[in-house]
Amino acid sequence: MGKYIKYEIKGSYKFILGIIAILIIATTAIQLDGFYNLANGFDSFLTVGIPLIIILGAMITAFFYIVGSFRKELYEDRGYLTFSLPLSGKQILGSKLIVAALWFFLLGISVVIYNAGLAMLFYAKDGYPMMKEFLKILWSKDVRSFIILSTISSITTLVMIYFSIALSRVTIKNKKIGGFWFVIFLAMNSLYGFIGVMLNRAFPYYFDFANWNMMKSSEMNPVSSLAMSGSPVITGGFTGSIYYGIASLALTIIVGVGLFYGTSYLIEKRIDL
Amino acid sequence: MANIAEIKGLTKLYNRKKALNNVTLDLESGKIYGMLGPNGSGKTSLIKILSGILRESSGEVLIDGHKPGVHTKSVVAYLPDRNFLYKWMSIQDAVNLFKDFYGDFDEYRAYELLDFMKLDRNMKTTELSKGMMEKLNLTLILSRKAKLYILDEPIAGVDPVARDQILNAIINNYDGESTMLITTHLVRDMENIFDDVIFLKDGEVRLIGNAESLRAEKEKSIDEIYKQIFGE
Repeated sequence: MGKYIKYEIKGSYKFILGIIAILIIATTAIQLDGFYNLANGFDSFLTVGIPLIIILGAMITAFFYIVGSFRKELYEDRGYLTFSLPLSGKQILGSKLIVAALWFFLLGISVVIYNAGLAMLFYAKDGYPMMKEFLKILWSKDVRSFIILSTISSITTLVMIYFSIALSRVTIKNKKIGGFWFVIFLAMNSLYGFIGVMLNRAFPYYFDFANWNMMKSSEMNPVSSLAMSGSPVITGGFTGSIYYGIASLALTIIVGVGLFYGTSYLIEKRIDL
Repeated sequence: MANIAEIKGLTKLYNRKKALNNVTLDLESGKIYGMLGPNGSGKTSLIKILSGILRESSGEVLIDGHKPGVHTKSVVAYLPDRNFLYKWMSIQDAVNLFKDFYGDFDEYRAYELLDFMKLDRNMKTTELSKGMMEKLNLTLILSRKAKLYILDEPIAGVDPVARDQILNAIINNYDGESTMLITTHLVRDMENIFDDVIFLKDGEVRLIGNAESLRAEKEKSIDEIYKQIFGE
């Protein structure tokens, strides 16, 4: 599996580095704008709006590039190589997920670190305490648990996308109707969200991973109305912590693992190239 | 002689169309088989099932005693009829990939073959002509010491010089122990290297036999027998 990961990285690193470069240039423009506006006191769409659009565009491009790399295996000739390698479906899918997670992590972390460094450079006088405060927030229990749980949720979403692509390829043999996966994904994601809400309503317990504290939704005033609605995540309440619906979180993990096995089965046993 | 592949009652359906209809066939170790038939006769479907990239609708396939899967992919060297290498690769990257994934890959044989084919290992695969691409793909496949080689149209669409180079590479690198299954429409160019031939028509085996015996029995070349069977 490690070998396949190596070739996945080799095949995509140039593109990801390009995206990182675009993100760095765009965020630099925003920081420069902030720095000079301290002196001049005005904002400009050219210096803030356009870089923000570029950042959004670059992130979406990266997302579709990563998702597209799985789709290409099923719809393009490169699949003849990938699926004739002595690898199981789980190894191929696991490698793709690891590399996707690695790239998203690298994109996020490089932009955060670069901008923190740039902020220190611009605001040298207040830079060090500002950075210290920033890192303190970044390393807080709330943020850490948020990052871990968001990662679990994102991986489940990614597996759901891969499953939709594989299912679409198995059911619709016509390669020209490749966009059908998106319909499957929307349907599955809606059903998954609906079941999550229903489960949270039926089992209304929420967990705060930062303080290792469980609460029932009815005890979470003043946001109990939100909790009663079955929302998977609740912020605020008396403590100001982030609460995660236990039932919907369990569902996320079960769906993620189930779809991982389902997708592995489809690409190993059902795909016809 | 032991069988490397055993195919029993193999059927492949694409919707209602039968690409393969109840094919039963054994491939013996140590032989070069020519699988011949017109377009749509089921050759590529059979090859893809043996390579583990297409599922049978019914019937059974065993390669080296296993159903197509991870094990069989490690003993089957498959040359598809298309450019299957990743577009970002150089020739050296492709050699490295085969070395990493196939324990039977002989890197030195690959370099010798690249020299024989006059291919520069620093070239990107996207820079290669069709003939060069075919030669590279064949180099990678023949550099493995696989139990079963499956070559789908190895000389299709290449010029006569490249064709001779490819045929020489196949002949010179065949060790006599493994099995080769080759499909081609260019029967006249390849018939001399076949030990046995399999004629497929409409997804069924129409004729199978030793190439030399068939020539003697019918007093015709394999190419002429092909035309007789498929020209009906």
